[in-house]
Amino acid sequence: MVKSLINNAKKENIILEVKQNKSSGALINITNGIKEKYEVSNTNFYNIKALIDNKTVNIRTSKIDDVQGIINEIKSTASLIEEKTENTLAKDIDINRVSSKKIEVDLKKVLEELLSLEKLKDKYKEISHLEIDFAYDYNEISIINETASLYDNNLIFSYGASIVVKKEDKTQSVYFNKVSKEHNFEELKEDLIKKIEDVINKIDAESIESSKYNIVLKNEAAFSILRNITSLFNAEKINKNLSCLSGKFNKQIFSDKITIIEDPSNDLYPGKRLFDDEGTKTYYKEIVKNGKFITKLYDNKEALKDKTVSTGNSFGVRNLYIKPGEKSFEDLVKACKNGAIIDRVEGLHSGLNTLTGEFSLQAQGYKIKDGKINEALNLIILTSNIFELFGNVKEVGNDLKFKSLVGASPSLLIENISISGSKGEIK
Amino acid sequence: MKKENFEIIINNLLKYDIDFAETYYEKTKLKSYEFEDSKLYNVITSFDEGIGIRCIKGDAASYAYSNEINSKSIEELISNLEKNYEKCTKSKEIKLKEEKIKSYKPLIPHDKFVKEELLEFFKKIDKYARSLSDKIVQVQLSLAEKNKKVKIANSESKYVKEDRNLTRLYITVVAKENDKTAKSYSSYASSGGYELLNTFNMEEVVKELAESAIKKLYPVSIKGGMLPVIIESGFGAVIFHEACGHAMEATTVSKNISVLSGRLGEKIASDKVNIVDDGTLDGFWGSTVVDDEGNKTKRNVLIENGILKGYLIDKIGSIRMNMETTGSSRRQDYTFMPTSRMNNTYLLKGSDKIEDMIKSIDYGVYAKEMGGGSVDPTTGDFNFATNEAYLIENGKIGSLIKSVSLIGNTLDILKNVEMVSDDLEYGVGMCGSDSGSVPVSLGQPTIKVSEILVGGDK
Repeated sequence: MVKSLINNAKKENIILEVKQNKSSGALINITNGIKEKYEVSNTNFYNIKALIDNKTVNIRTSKIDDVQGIINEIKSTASLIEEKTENTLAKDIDINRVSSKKIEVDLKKVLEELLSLEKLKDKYKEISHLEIDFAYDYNEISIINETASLYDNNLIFSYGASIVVKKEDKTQSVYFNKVSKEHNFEELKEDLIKKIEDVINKIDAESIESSKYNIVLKNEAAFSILRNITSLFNAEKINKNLSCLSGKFNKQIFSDKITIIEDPSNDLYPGKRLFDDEGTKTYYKEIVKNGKFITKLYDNKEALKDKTVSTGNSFGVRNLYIKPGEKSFEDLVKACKNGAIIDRVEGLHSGLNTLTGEFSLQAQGYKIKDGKINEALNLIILTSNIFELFGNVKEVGNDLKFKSLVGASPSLLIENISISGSKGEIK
Repeated sequence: MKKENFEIIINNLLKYDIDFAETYYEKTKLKSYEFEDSKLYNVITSFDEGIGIRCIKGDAASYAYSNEINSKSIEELISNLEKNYEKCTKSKEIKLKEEKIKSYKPLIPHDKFVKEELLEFFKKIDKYARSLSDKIVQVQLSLAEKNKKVKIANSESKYVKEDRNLTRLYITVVAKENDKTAKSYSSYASSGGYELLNTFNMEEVVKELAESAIKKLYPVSIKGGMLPVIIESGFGAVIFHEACGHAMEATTVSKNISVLSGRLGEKIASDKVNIVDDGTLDGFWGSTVVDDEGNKTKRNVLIENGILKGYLIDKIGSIRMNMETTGSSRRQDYTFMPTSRMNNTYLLKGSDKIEDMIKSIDYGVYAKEMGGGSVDPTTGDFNFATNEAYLIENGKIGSLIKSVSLIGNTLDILKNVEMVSDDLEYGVGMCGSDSGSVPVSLGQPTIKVSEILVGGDK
């Protein structure tokens, strides 16, 4: 059907490229030991890129049987677009593919495993609510044009847990999620226990006095910030003055301890994609090396404008991470001496301005006294900007763990960052 | 999909031991026009058609969805659902009865608006913004038009269709001087068509945005801490959306994990707090005639004179809470099961004067424009960020400050609403939660909060 659409469009001088994304999966939700939700899904989308009169038209649709309707839509849209581009089409590429297999997930076994987690309540009496989500998604992507045909697939497991703990009249909660290439129940249980112990520690959390602190930004919190600034490296945003990295290419932007890598083709990480949405082969690249911004991220359109080639980032980024150092999280806490661990930040969609790099974020964590973890902190605000935050990094930890398709970060020891809290006087 | 097809699906499911079956079908067309660098550089067109089938037994649900609408695919969805239940010895059959409703009719429908006129409109805005100052280096405009046709049928014989139209315009103005960059944006949106473009004075709006973006180039830092804050009317109501709206949704209330669970009739806010969620407001961005379970939307009083009066309740919530549904069940699309959500949430007018609010503050913040926020409904801890805010010193508004987050806890903040003026205005946004991202309006008059934690980096 795709080929026939491409051939029919060609008769009207329209060159088409069709990306097909097929997805099927299931989700189970266990709430307090009861199977509360079960979902199955099956979706199919076509993203059609049409080249007509040196213009590019994009259409996303779940059906391609109405060929003439699609062609008419392309023509009427093209007449409005003012930007002329010589867009390129995907070429067949040599990819060393390790395909994920479409395996039958034994949902019965998974269900039994998830139900067994209810027993954690016997050990941790403070838990008043425990909700676990398990999902898998088998995804197949193909890109087809007149001369090329590319294919990739992925099987991803994702987990979520909502934990509520209570002590007397105090309540604390945490939501945790992660994705994984393989279903590993023991690892999930371990992660869950860590979160439970952490949220129990935070029941009595208090605020702090507003001041500048040395902080250990724990891996998950560091990644929360990192994942929200990945668009800054986008060449189009930089060229259009819409990134705070405009004018900063090839300059030192962060501490020399920071090297940011993107490695979408690496099958060891969950975000593996062998080619981007335009069919460009993905590859290992250093975006920031020892604090210097050395690679802008391109899709075909922007690459042509800058007379360069695409970096395979038309989909944004996958498997992006800060290169880990050698010190453990405990070493970083010791080296911090006095300050605070920040292990959770909230409100990134509104509290971080990608144009200026400034942010002000609700946070949680622990105090550090004499190199040791001390009392828990809640309802504090971390206020800084990305240049100060990643510029003041003194040490990078070794605790890099991939829990997202976008990437990961190790923990970071950072000096002199403002934290606001409700304790103390303000003048 | 015809009424008969829905009937077949539901009757097939009723052969199994379930309490409730429902099918939700939607067909959407979305077009989005994006303008940057003084030209229309992208038009995104998207078509989709999908179905979601839900079964409820007790308070547990199973759901199957697909965008492949053919008999084989639907049979597969049904068989996936059936696996979860025992076959009934006695099955019942229903006949659907169509409930006719009047969908909101756009005054200027999407397909009746000449798109060259939109291009002209964009160019006029771009030219005008750039003419105001050399510091304006970028103007981003986007307009999205969406038509969604929904059909909902359930085992209670309900069958209802709604034709929903949404239109949203974004205007962003970017200022730059030396190495400083700042932006201001405004968004207009309605459940309607292109009449939206006639609802505001373009020149006034663009001038205000350009001035605000230029002012933001050189903000001052403040030291964070507990401060009194005035929040200007309109989108500032995100404080109520986050601080109490989400905690009133049955999603958490019914599981007894909301900070507001079991508090009906309790005084949870200051006397001046009166909050309503109303899905019936004509043409509002968050309005629909029926909710995504096919029940008519309503005006739901949530807080009256500081007393908690109601929750937002969907089908599953109503089973768990043994209370009536409130027409508040929503979902982004067929890929989500519906759950209780807000529509248009607002704080009613008070009688305090804004001048008196400002005069009453020795050292605090005047938040002119707010960004979004988020909340943990279980603890009630929430945050929201300022987009444009000023320092108040000795009863006078002073310098523009850097964007900061304001954070607090539901139970404290609602009691700290000290003054409420009468200048009720509304803003629009997208709200993300369990059932995806849905359009919502938020409204409030200008308010004074006696104390809230403000972030700072001085």
